[in-house]
Amino acid sequence: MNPDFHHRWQQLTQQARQASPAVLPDGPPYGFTTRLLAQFQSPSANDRLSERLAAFGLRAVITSALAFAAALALLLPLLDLSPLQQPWIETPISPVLLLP
Amino acid sequence: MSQPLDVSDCVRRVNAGDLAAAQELIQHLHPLVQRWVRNHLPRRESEEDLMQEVFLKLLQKLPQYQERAGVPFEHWVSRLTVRTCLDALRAERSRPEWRMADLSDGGQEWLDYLTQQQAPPPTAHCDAQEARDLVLRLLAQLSPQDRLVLTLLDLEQRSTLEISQLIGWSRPMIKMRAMRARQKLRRIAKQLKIQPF
Repeated sequence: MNPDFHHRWQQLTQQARQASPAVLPDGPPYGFTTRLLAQFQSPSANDRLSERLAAFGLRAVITSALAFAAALALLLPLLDLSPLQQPWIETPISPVLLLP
Repeated sequence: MSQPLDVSDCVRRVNAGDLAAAQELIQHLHPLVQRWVRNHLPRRESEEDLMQEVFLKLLQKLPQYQERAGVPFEHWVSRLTVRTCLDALRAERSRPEWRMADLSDGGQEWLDYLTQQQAPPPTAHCDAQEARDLVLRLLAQLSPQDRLVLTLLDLEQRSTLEISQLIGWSRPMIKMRAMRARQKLRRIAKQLKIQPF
């Protein structure tokens, strides 16, 4: 770091600090607190949207779980649970074929 | 004369849903928050909007506040305010553009003095406001973190310990960041001098 620049920058900031600070009002502007508290108490649009999405998501999960259970109950008796047949590939087919 | 506010009791009442207490707390903290916001305000943001954001966060996070011996409540508020300002600075997409011609005579004298070894120190007629204006303009060209560190360190003269507690960085990191930020400032000032229009 260039020591000269550093020194001069410090001189500049020292001078800048001497600028008279802007006068701050004693308290918040009229209506600020009321607006703020009203906003704090009312749920924001984002909150409302996320609440709706959460409720919708929960319902969707419950409905799909019920539909799955119903489908399983209906289809279970129809399922053929006998052992699977031997796959065709196990049967030699080459003697049957007429090769040229 | 008004009674000093019992902050612990006020915080307890706000957490219990007492709106009058919330109003008292906002009135009490307003000057502190305003001072912070004014010193770290992004160029395109309104001071009142940012203050409203700070107070909203404060009210939302108040139930998480835990009182610690020797650490005033105002410290927690300052930290929250500085972080909110830093987020707002980060959200600022582009840095403001400015040229030599935008500077006052005093500002130009200071810029010459910063960038040219042979330049004489600015004359007595350069007032503090012009110097402050130049400092703020130069700082606005830096990244939000660099700007924050130099504002706290060089303009507000806070210690590295204080800054560390405010923004959560280690003290060596703050010193390193400040050094690099000043190097960047030097480059920015020189560039500005080379391309005056």
